[in-house]
Amino acid sequence: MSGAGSFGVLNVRVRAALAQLLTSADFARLMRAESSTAFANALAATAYGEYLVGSDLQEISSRRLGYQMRKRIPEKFKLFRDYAPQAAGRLIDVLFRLYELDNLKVVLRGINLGDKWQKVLYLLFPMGEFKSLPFQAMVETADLGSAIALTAGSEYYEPMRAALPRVAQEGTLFSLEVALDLNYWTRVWSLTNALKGSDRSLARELIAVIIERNDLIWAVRYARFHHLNEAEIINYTLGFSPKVPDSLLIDIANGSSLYDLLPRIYPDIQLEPRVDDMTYRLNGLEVALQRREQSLLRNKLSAYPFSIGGALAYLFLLEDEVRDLTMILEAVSLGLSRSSYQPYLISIPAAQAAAES
Amino acid sequence: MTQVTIEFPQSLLKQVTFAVARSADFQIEDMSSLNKRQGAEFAAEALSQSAGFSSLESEIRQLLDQIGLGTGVSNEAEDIQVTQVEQIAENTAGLRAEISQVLNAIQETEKHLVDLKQLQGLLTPFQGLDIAFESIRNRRYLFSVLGTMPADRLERFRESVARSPFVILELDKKAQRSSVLMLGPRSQSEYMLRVARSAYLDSVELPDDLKGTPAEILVSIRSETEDQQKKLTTLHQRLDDIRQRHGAQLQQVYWQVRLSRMLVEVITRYGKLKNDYLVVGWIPRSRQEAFGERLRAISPNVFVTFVPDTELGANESPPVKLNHQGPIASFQKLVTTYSVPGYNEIDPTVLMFITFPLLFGAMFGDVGQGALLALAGVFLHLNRGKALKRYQKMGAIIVLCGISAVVFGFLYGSIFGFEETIKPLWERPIDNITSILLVTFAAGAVLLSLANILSLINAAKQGRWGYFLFNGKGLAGLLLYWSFLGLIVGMAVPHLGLPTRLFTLTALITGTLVLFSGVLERLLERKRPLFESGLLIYIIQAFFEFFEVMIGFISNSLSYVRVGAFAVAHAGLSRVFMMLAEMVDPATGAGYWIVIVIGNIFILGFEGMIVSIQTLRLEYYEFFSKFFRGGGRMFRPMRAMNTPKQGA
Repeated sequence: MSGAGSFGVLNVRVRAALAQLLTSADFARLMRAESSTAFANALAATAYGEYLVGSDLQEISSRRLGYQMRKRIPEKFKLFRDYAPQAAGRLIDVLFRLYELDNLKVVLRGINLGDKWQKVLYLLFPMGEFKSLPFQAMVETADLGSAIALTAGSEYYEPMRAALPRVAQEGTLFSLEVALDLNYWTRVWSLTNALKGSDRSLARELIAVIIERNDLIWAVRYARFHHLNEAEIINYTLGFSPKVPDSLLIDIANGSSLYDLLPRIYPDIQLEPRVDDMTYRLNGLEVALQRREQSLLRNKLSAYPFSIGGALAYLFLLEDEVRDLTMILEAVSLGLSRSSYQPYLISIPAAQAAAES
Repeated sequence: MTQVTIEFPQSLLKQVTFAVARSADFQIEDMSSLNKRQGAEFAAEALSQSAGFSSLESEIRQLLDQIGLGTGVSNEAEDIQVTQVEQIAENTAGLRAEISQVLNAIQETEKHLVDLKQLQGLLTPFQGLDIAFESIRNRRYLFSVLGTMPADRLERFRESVARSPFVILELDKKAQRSSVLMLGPRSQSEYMLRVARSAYLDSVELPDDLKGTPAEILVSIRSETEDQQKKLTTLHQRLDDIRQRHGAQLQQVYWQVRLSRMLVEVITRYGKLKNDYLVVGWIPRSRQEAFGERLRAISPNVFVTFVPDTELGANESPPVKLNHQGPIASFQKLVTTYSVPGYNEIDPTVLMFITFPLLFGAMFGDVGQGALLALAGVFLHLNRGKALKRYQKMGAIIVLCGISAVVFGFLYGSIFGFEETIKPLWERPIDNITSILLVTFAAGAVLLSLANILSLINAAKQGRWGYFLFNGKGLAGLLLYWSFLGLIVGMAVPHLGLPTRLFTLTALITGTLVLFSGVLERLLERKRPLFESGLLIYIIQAFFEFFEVMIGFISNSLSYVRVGAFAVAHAGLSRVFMMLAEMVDPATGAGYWIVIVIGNIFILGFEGMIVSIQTLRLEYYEFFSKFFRGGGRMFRPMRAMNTPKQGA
């Protein structure tokens, strides 16, 4: 299959899935919930209800509820991967593997801290029907080297094996996690560039935005929290996008203010008023960047239908939606007010619902 | 078994010890607790000697291993002299030092070869670099980092140092790694190292004395490797020479040390009196005369006393000599796993030899599967390979179980799960479930009755007459059980005309006896008080114990019904695989037979294991628990002078 034929069915699936994205009214109902039970009942009335079938909504814990909600992501990724043509399907598969990478980091941290499997298990993202790494066996080795050996044959093995001696020298997992990140996004970019025609251009446009965001956030974090020099920051970033050139990274390394640098890349982003807390500012930057991407993603939904663009846009929108749902659920469970999480909502409907209330 | 006591003066220590150690039928008891102060010093000295011999023995055995010799076979016992460990160590110091020296030299040379190979591996990626190492190392103004890194990060690495006065040269690329040389000003060495690390560059640390280009160094490494290999060959030849010249001598020393240790360890178990030594042990009655004569022949001052088992005190516990041969010996291990039989107790090994295969066969009846099992048992029994050696003794058990399964296979008419191929000599379990369950219930009743009878025999041998007459596992319990069985059969099959009134009367009488067995036993055995914890407590206790006995009758009897149940299940499982085979390939082609084969393998493995466990359970918990108290200890005669045929 190729072209319209190969993307035709996928396009139909994307349209159907789009119709099930939550509206601002849905978010408003969820935000009004005063307990996780009320939240569960409101959620059951949406497309997420299918993941709550069989659960006792009166008794379900917020942890379980969050886990069930997140199952939508692997389900949709698998659906689109299976319907997409080969090269596009490979890219979708690897994009989902970001969750596997996050799980791997959780496992490695757990091993480093000496945690047992029961504790680590609760922190893992559901992988659905995607075959994944032997996480339980890794945790049970209780040793980083042995755990890494269990991943032999996977894409993660070589970067981890190469970085392991530094973990012993430095006493932190920092270099290992960076090696994994760099390796992962390099693979994603490589697969993106392997696409052809409109697939390639659309995918590059969407993924470049993520890569830019990563480079920017990483550079700020490395400079401000890890006190790395410019060369180290350059080595620890990807550098694929011209929007975040090395000169910008060098300026960040040398202490330039974000407020001075950001207009050079994103003139349309307004950061929060100047505050001293770097963590606060960094979170604010990340949210601002992700909100900006929302508009781009929604635009791509109406782009050329017989390409990967629509599927990717939907999947990224879905991820943002689930992220917001998780945040709202946690806030409801902890009894936090709307004002505490409103600044961090990313998806447009969620932000609208919060603003209207 | 006879208890032996030997008393002798200190001057005869060596001769008596030799005589005792040479005996193959004498088990020594540890009397060292008798030792007072001077005895304690003697024991401490012996222990110290023993430790010394033990250490020397390990060292010599290790040397023998390292020169490629085993420990060989011991000399005849008469040649062994017990000498001080220091003397042996001194006599053999030269030889041991020579061997150790050669072995150490071999080890060093081998390590050197490994280092050379490693260095060769490190340098090979850089062999294209036409720069002498000394020109880039330890320079006053230049700093270099040489190493390998992920090839896909090299471009980024170059970008990261674009503003720095560094040069990055890719020397080689293999698979996903590039060999890289980074050069820069020495004043920025720290910075360079940090940046190199951030690029995941694994730097290579080379020895300072390396001079020349990588290619030149590799040539010298190859030359040195050849020299070291020649040296290694020479050393191995020297070791061969030592083995040939001194191997036998070293083996002889080994045995001298080993047997000296064993003799010293024997001595540590002696009781030390004021001027004499006391040795206590056990010997089979048939050997006691010859043993006594051997000892008395040493000197009239050696006093030997024999006490037969019938005259021993109540708290004396002679060891038990279990001496089964042939296939029965395989079951001995199963019995001793439960417990070692007490001295005055029936050894259930022969019974287990009969009942275990019978029960197994009844549950696993199939001609073909039984035959395969028997063959597997034969293979296991005859196999001499190291991997299966520890399972060799189980071979006989598996053979017998297999043969029994074959016999029952003919009775049930089943061969490899096929029930239409041969006609059953008795009946098919799955088609006659009620019948097979009743038969196995009856068989269970027979076995339980046998167990009860054995309990009576044991009680009689041990002189526990109260237990014999009144206990739930005694005569009263047996008659009560038979009465109940008679009543059940009488009610179920009234036309047999069984004397139910007699059974009822017997049940009432024996039931009452069992109910009050506790006090009756104490009455007969003249133990007072009759009610240890008071009358009321006794009545409550007796009631519950009686209830337990009654429940035990029912549960133990019904437990044997599982034999029939498993026979049915075995047939049922076979039928399931037949059905699956037909579903896979109704035309009984290749697919059909594949499923049949898989099914038989599954049944052999999985069900075979389950049936074995059930059989063991029936033996241990239903059968043994009725009469077998165990708690004995095995007869372990000394083997100090009786060395194994092969070196240990």
